[in-house]
Amino acid sequence: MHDYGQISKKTRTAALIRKTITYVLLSMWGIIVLFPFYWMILTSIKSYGSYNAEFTPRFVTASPTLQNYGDAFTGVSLGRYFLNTFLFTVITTALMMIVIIFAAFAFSRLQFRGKNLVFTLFLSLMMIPSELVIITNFVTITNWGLRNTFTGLILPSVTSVFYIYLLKENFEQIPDDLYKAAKVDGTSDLKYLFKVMVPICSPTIVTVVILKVIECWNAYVWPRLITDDPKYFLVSNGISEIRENGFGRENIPAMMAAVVVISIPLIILFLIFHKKIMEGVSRGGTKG
Amino acid sequence: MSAHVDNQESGRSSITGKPTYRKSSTLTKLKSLKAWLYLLPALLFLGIFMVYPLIDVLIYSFEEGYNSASQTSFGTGWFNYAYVLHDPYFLQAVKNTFIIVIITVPLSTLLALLISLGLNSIKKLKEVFQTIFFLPYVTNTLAVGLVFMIMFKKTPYTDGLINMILAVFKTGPIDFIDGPYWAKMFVMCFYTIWVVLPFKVLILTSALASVDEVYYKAARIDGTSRFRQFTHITLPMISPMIFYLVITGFIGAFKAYSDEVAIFGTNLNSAGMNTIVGYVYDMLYGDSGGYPSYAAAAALILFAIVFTITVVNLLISKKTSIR
Amino acid sequence: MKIRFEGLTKRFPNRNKKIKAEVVAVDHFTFEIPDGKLVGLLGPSGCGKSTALNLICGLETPTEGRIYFDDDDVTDIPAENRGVGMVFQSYALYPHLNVRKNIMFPLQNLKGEQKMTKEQMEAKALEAAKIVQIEELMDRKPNEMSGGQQQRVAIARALVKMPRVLLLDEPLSNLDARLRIQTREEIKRIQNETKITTVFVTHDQEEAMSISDLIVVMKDGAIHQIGKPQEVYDQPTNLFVAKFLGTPPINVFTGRIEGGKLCIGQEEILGKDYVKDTSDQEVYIGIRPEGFVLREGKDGRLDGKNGVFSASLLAVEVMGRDTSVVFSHSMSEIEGTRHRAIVSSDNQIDPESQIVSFDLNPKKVFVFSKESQERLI
Repeated sequence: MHDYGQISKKTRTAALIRKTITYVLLSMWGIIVLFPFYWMILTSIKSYGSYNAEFTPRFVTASPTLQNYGDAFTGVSLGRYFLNTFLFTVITTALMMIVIIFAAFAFSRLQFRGKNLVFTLFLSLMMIPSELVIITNFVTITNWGLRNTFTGLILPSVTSVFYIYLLKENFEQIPDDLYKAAKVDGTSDLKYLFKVMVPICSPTIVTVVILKVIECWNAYVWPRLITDDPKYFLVSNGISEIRENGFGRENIPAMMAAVVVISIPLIILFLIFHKKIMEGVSRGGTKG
Repeated sequence: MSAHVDNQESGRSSITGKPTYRKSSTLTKLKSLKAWLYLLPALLFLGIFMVYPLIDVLIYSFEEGYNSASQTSFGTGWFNYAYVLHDPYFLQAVKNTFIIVIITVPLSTLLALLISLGLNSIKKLKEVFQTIFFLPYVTNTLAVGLVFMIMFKKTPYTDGLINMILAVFKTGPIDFIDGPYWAKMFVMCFYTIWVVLPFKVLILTSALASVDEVYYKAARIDGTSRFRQFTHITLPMISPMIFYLVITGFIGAFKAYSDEVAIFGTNLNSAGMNTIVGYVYDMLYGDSGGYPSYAAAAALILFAIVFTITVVNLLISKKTSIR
Repeated sequence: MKIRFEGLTKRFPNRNKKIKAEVVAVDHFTFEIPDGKLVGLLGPSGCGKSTALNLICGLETPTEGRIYFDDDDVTDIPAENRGVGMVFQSYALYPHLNVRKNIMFPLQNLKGEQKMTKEQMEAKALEAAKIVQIEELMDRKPNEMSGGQQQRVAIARALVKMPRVLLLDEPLSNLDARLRIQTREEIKRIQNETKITTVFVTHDQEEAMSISDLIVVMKDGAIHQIGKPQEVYDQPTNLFVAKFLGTPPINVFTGRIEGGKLCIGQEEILGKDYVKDTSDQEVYIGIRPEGFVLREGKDGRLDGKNGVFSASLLAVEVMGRDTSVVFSHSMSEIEGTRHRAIVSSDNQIDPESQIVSFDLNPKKVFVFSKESQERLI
């Protein structure tokens, strides 16, 4: 009834073919993903002259130079954009963590009247797109005279309903008895929060921090609206500025050098924490 | 001390027969106050930067002839909406946005599904591939957009990398950045997919991995073909995640903006590549800015579109999951 | 159909990556499962019985050795071409399909000449459902059914394509005690009706004993004994098999053979006609709970005061027909074990008494070498 010999041979060949095709296709997408990075680095080490002399772009360069990196820092205020973004990221993330940890604690552990109502209202805010509220926020910040200040940049992004929700869910998984035990021992709420809950939930907290750092580092829309003074530009606005006005002339290698410098911090962060970041994003991240 | 503890638990201790104490109302009030104190920062920020703007934007959108300098308006009505809906820039933005949505959402979801299926079927190098594929998620879209622009751009000095490749196939050169509409749209969609894919691949890979291996074992013993295993087991089991990705994909694509700026620069209207969100920002601020009323009307129209599509999506997903 | 193993071996790399040595899950199996029988693979968890099952169905490929279905070598045949039906421990019912569609699933895979029309498939599915008596539940989804019902659906799904072999992986482990007894009789009945060679895996000796035609006792990847349940129970080949089978478990003591007599401590429990010419040595002595017998005293009472084997009485538990006598003994293999003897409820043992004495039924006494743990007598 069965020709067993043939079946076993056929299956083995089919499996081999399938595997080969899979690897080839995956590698192709890998190249599409990686190529822009390669091109960015390659172009950044071509000299201005040799780049412009290439009518047909070359995939390697004979005389790599770091000149463009120097230009990138001197031609535009890349260092300042960098520092601004760093400060913006650190301060925004730190402030947000405090705000959301307190809020999540209140929702998960404390009893108060109207808790359910407030929480439902909170959740419904998750559906509101930032594009709707940004108009008024722009007007508000302008009226407060906070355009071109760090305060104006930071203030609207120090809360996130979604992260409060994520953290609250995590806090609620900590057994009630722990809280009771701490109360019996005379631990204050604040001490309990930072000595017990935060350490226990540190995986989630790290996730939120990472997601927020990525979000801040890549922030573009709000900074663009609120700053027009290059002194307060973040890297995204810096890139946009370089693109529009460049280095006086269209210096693409220097542009690419700037792009490399801007991309590197997050890529390093990613290569170190790639497991954690991917885990965190799959648990609760969305783009932007 | 012990009285204090019992007091907190007065409800429960009456069951266990321990002495109970009447709930002290001052203590409850104090605790309630403390909770509100913990919530205060969040409430404050959300109130000022989310709740108030939400009401305000509605008011803006109905205030006719609002003047931001004198903060006065002529009256209320639908004029702002009518203006926006007749503005050729807005209509162009709507068209662009819809094309981007219709092309990138299905294509990226499908591509992500194929890639994650591939990833899930291999053991060696799986983690390496996963890490590489995720890389675009953590990069600055504006920065990489610039690289894409340079790869696609045709200048008097060079046809650019992509045209060099096209030349091998005896086509081109095409100016993808300042050239014909469809070429620009192609770059736009390509870049959008490049940007959104990491998230989708990640979500689908973990969804696929969470399908219990035993179902595939059972199917194999029953001689189920790979294709049937995919359509009858894998797809139904990961369909909630696919719907999630489609819904978030729609929402995200309708809000497309910074990817466009990354490729075509801030003056999207002149490139003919503006999106609805881009229109909102342009109305608010920038060369043609200073019209928060128009911006508000456009933003609300966008919200209405996204809301409708999300509801439709949810209805479809409910229907299919019941079947 | 017969299933024959020849030197079947499966080795896995150690889960702890630091340890280089491989884990041998199945170690040189050579035996034959006769056609149309219900065979139980029995052993403690981790003994390799599930691996053995996976080797039969083709989900795992052996490191060495061959598997034959009748005379066909199926070792390299993928699972889908072996024509086996399998019931998984977790049932693996597709949650999004109702019972009918779950049962029809294997039929829809058939190709070529075997392809069926929808009506044929429905008829076949109904037939299979009738065998396991779930024909009223055809439109339910798996999560709307009890564990026992899901189990039946899983069996129907495995049966519907008329497999040459039916495999069941721990079929009863997810059911509660009452359902377990009911379901195991059900499995026996279905196997009797269909006459399909059936192999099931279990760690529960009672389950294996009650329904199998043949049981295979395994430990650490090796077969310790193959035989009919009663045979294995009555004639265990080594201490492990003796201990693994039977509830309450066998009572094991250390003792010795001395001058043709079997002794525990100072007591000589069995004589020359039992020991025959086994040489003098240290031994383990296993006595089944029913091997303890009460001897009638001079007054005709069964009061546990006469016998060759004395122990400290701990308790007397009357359980209707039988009485279980709980005692301890200084020569227990494991110190402090609470031993049990099962005697008839006609006994007149005084629960307050310190000592209890029994005679022994030589058929229920097994002697094992202390060194190799193999059976001597």
